[in-house]
Amino acid sequence: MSEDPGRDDTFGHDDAARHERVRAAFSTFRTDARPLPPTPVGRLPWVRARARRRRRSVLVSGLAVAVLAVGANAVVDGARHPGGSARIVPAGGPAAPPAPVAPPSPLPCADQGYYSTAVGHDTAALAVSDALHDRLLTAADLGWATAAPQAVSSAGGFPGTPDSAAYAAAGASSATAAGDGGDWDLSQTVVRMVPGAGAGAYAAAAALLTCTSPEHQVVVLTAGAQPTPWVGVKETTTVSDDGGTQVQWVVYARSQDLLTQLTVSFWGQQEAMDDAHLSGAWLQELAIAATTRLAGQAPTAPVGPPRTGG
Amino acid sequence: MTEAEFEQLYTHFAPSLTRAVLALTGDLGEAQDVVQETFTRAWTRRATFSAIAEPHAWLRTVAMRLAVSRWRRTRNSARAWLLRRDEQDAGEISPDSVALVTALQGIPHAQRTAVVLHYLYDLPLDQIAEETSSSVASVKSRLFRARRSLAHLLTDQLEETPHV
Repeated sequence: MSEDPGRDDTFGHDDAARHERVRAAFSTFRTDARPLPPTPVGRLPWVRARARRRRRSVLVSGLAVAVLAVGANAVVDGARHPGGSARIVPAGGPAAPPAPVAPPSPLPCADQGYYSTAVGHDTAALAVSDALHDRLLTAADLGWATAAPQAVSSAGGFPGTPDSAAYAAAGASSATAAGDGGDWDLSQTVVRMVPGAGAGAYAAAAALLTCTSPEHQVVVLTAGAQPTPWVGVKETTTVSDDGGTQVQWVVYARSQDLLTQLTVSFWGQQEAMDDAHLSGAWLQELAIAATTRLAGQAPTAPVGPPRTGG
Repeated sequence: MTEAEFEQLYTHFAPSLTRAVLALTGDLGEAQDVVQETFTRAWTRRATFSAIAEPHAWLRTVAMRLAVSRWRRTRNSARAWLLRRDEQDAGEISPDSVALVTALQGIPHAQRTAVVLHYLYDLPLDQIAEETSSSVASVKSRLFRARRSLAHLLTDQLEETPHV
């Protein structure tokens, strides 16, 4: 008897006959079923989402224009105070260390059909280069024991800014950390907007990230003020044709014309775990580290592996 | 992974995945739904998907798990498949294949998954064990029992299935 674990060598004479019978049946089935179609590409959720995004582009553009209209010397940093009023911070001024502010309350999305930052917006496809690699979190910044961030070949732009001409450069990486019963995935994208476009792009993206609709629920867990604003949320998307409920944690941050996006999700053996928990304090530490690195400085301490409590 | 790369992945792997899930569920519509959901889950992690060593194995495992979780215990699923086949002009399906899909619905899902992976994907036992989180011995046992049941059920089904 062979010791090859790949071979099924257990059957005797009778079972060998059954084996041939079953193998012949599957062979016929394989031939018969070859023309059976999967869902046509045009009906796939992400393709439909792209069509929906196009229909929404006018609304999104309108939102971005409204945000930019706040004033030439002021920007909205995404840190709206509870109650819905916008926090207006003077632009420019000396660099200051990142500091948290009270997380803003989510506001209703302008488009109540909006449902996901992952597939619910038109995204610029960006070529990734090494130019911004010093603005991505490093293995030392993360302090994760299991894996260093890996380079990623392509990246998407920010929601609300689908025109790739608005981006001057992009860098991206991903990292994985072992968790209790699964793995934490962290994806990071850093982009340099064309001069002067950073504030508007960040404001538009943050507004979309922190808005709520029946299918896009958000809890804002952390936010930071100028000159390096950030916002971090737990985002729950509930759309049946997108695979049901999905949970991820997202951070956007800006330093002048540099923007970064971090997405954290928890995966079981094969699937994202929709009942996962992540500490808001940990997300804030991640946001501060990313913001510090975005500004060209090293974080004061490693973030450490994702925490679920505290 | 760009949208274009992802659609290439879908075009390349979705047909074989649909066949496998059809064998598991006996329902083409259900198979299409499961494959669509599988790729949607892959889409949500496409930023890191290119780093996966064997994306086809990842897709297959997720699809198998989704198929099990969405199980439809209807004995008429093969008939539903035939009806959908007519609607979608999927081509001629032989009585042998109808009998196989029907017979597969009559064995436990663990055996069904093992037999589909072994006979449809030609996977070796150790890989089936890895993808189903079980031991090689368990896979051997499941295949043995599945063959015994299927041989019996195939004979019965062929006697009962009318020509199409």
